[in-house]
Amino acid sequence: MTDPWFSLRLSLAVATLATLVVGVLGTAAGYFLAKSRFWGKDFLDALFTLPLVLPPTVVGFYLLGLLGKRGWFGQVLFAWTGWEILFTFQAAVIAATVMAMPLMVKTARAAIESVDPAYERAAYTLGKGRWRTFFQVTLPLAWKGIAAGLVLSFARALGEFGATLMVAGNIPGKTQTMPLAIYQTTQTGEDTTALALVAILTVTSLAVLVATNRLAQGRPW
Amino acid sequence: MVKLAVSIQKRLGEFQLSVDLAVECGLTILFGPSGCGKSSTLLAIAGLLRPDSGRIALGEEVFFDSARGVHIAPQHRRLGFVFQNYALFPHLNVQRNICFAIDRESPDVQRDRLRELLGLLHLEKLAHRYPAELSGGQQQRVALARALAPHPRLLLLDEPFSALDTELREELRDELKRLQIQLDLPIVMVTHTRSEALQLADTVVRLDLGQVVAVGSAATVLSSASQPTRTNVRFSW
Repeated sequence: MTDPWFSLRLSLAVATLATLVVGVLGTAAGYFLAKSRFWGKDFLDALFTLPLVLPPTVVGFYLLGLLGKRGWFGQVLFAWTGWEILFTFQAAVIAATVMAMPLMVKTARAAIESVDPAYERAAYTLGKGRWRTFFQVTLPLAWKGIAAGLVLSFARALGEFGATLMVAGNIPGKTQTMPLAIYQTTQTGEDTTALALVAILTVTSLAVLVATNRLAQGRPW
Repeated sequence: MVKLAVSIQKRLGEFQLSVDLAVECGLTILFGPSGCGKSSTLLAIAGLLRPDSGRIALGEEVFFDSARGVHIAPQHRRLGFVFQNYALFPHLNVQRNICFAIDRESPDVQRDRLRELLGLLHLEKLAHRYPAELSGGQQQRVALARALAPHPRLLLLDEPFSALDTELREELRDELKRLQIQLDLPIVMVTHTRSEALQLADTVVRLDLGQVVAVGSAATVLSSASQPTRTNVRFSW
């Protein structure tokens, strides 16, 4: 039985956790892509972008292969802990993370590349190493773009459907996130509940877009 | 007097930098037309550009030695660098820009050093302004103060007056000379302006096409400037 309030709470939890992971990993990847030059960089960039263009079910299929009991990672995890990650809350977080990653990497990379390297050089000559320079100079100067990336990632994670369905399933009261609940209630004719869920997601997405635009323009709240 | 010895080779696209110089620094000026390799030389001394081969040493300390695989990172060279466009951190006010390099010292040490530098460069009234709210001359003085804060062993200046108008240039040149004498701080400065070299330099290193063509006092090096004679001899003053 679909519980709309559970689905809302679950979606918010999944999206928040996914955004945190994506924020750290995506910013690190964006920095790496912006700063280093190496053979195969274009390929790596394309790999990070892939979930943006692939059908979510295809991403879900790969994740199944990775996380399943006989999968590359799932196997190791099962052998060590006896725990199966598929069809759990954690699987939903992983699906949302992978799907939101391209937006974060792209925006973080662009934001970091837009910071004049002269500031970083100045920080080096003033005795700061790479880490301090990143946290004291690069990050504050790229902050607007990175924040915009976080907001977009949150929105993407909140709306994730296909990959989540593949790896986390559609278990009411366990892994049924908002988009899955909308699908379910529409199928079973619970129109009022479906409408309420749709309204909540629409308003949230709208708020996210307004917030992103404001951030990009550097306007106060 | 501490000796700066630079003998480096670096391929930059079509351009071959091959600089060999040794100077005992008071105020040394790297002089030459744009694209002669003077800024690259300065970046190499700072550690921001890694030469293909050669050696860079300040006194006893070796910054770079390709033969021994030595390349000290810029943050460990303790050199001050003033960039052509100053590169003041736009998100920090004057006070925090100046204290950037010493922000891990105790608050007392920072406060004393800040007061000293604000006084030295006449910036007392600007401590809370942001770089965007400063004139070009003020920005340049803040950049100097920021570079001086951690007591560098050598100050490097890349065309420090090029972004300023003529009157201000005169004034700040005098101020730089005063600072150099007052602080007894060795300075290496890059310029393509003859009057600047004549007014400020103890030693002029003249570069052309990526090579040192003459080293000496401003008068001797710049008088023969119309017809530079190539020499492979290393001078030391």
